[in-house]
Amino acid sequence: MDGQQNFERLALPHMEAAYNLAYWLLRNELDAEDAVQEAYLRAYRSLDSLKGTDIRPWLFAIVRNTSYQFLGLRKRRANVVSIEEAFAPRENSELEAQEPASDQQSAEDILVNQSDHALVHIALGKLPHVFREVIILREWEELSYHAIAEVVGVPIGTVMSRLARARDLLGKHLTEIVSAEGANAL
Amino acid sequence: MHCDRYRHNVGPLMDGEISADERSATIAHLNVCARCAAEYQRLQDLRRRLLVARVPVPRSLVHRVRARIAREVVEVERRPQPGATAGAHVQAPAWFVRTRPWLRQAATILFACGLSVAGALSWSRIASERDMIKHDIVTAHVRSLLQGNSVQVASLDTHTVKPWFAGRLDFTPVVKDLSAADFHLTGGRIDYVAGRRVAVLIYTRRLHQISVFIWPDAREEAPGIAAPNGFNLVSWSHAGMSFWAISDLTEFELKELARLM
Repeated sequence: MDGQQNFERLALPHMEAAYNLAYWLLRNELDAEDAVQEAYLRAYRSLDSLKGTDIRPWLFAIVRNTSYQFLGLRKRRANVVSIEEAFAPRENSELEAQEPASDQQSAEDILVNQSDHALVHIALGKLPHVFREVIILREWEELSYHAIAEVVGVPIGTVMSRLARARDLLGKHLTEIVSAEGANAL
Repeated sequence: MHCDRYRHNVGPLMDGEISADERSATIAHLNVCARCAAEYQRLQDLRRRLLVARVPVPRSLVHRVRARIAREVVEVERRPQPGATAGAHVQAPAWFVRTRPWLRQAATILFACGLSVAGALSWSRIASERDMIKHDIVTAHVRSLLQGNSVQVASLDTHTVKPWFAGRLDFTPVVKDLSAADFHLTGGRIDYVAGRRVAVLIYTRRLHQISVFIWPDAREEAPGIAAPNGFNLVSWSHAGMSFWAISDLTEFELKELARLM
């Protein structure tokens, strides 16, 4: 199947990126898998609409739209939980899960390493979606502002201000979480 | 104090999204402004730190996606009519059953929308009846290989296979024993090609499966050869019947089969 082979050659190399985008919009592995599968199917069906040489903005836009659609469905199903509520409060369980069990060697090192991993997860999860998506596309996928604007469907100026805000907020969240943890430890 | 002006440039500078003029001016500013230099450093640290939050993609996902698209290829190309609601027994695939009910509903709605669009598109794309037949045959053959259900009546005996078709079709296909020529009958099934029920005979040679599609067609078509998607497809007419044989065997071997039938 020529179309199928062509599509797989173009799109499959970006599955890891697509999955990360879906995961960080949905914050759930199973939903992210479903969203990526659905998005790839939609992308395959509308391959004719692909323009330009870089498939990523086009593909990520489909992944993003599908993820938001899934979010909407999930919200409607839950019926009571708001989107932001569904997202934010995972930090306690995640922090607990990251507690070091070993007191061998440098316990402090382990604590720092593991908790930094957890801290970044939490801080990124606390970001509102509009900021989370631009920072993921920029810092991980290294998309240009122009490409991000295409994915998100906003002007480049908006991308720039959202990205700056995302970086500020993320830094703020990271320091807040660290100090909150410090307070707990005392 | 131009700090405010340059502060907004720090991010774009790191991202390489800044004009040449602004770039040199901002770099010059960073050299003299500790605050903005620290901001540049902070953004770089943030970028590096963020990498730990990347999640590994489940290894099964790529197979899932590929299988889903393969199924889409088969389903869309096989649809006899746009928007037709054939009462066929479509078995839900495993992943579909596994997903949660709301997702299933969502997927069904999306799928239905997609199908009607894709069905309409593929219908308009199919140029001629022969192309449509070719499509149907390839997809039917591929599907039977994928699903491993190529045979509904399994028999090596022509006298079992031929009567099996009798009650199921409005014609009787010729079922020949070709084992002397190393084409071994393994059975038959009914399939659906170009909007009608057709007989399919399955022969094997070595490890290769050959599907021979047969239906009555008064028109005497000239023998045809095609190589769609890596398969070889040979068609011919004989005694008011249309024959289409498809396999990954060579065209030469398929013609040999055609002569024998």
